Amino acid sequence: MVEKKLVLKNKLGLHARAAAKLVQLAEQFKSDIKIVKDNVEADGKSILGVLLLAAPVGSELIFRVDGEDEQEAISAIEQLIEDKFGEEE
Amino acid sequence: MVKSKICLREYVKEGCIFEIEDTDKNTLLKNMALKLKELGFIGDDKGVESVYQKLVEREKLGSTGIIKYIAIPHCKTDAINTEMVILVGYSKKGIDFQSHDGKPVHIVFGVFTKKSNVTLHLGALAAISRLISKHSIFSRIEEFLSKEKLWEIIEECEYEI
Repeated sequence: MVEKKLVLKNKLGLHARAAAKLVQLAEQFKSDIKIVKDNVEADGKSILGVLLLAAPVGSELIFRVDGEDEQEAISAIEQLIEDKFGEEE
Repeated sequence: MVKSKICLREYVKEGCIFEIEDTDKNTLLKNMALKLKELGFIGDDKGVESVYQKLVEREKLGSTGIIKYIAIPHCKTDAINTEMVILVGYSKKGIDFQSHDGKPVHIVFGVFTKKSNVTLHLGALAAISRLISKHSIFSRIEEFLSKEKLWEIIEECEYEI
């Protein structure tokens, strides 16, 4: 299992479009992907779970990824967050 | 960390739950903007047009039909005269929303928030997600297609963020 803390950089946080992108990305991997924010854990492959986090910009999210492609998965997720989900700000 | 509580009933006001007669997505989006004016949340036709355009623009970035049978069209706008208002529409026939899973949409949560209030917007999305998962709405959608049933679950929905 790999665990990594990532901070949301895009202005709007985990809003609907960003959450949908994250879930679509997570679904491409076989690994189990959990996201923890303030002790609330969400399934990274479930849009309802991810939206429940209501994470604004600056939120610290802990990703716990477990499975055969965990390294690729965490790298891809980190890239998406670094890229601000493709958003301008 | 200080938590704040979102109570959906505070934003789903009288008249905000309605049956959708339209079958076309853009007509529905237009009618939602008109409904906001009819209910007194938007003052004039310019506001209606601006909200409608924003909803359409948002859908172009990717359909908000992100949950099975359910869509959450939304926009942040200063055309509304309140911090947030949520419209809830239900359709027995279903609407082609170009959803992620291709399925027709039967319930629509329209979330309209003032531009500055990102936290409230995220809180509403979280509360709606909680509402949907708590009642597994997507697995027994037919049961929820009435004003009474929707109000029953919305009235009691509170979520801490």
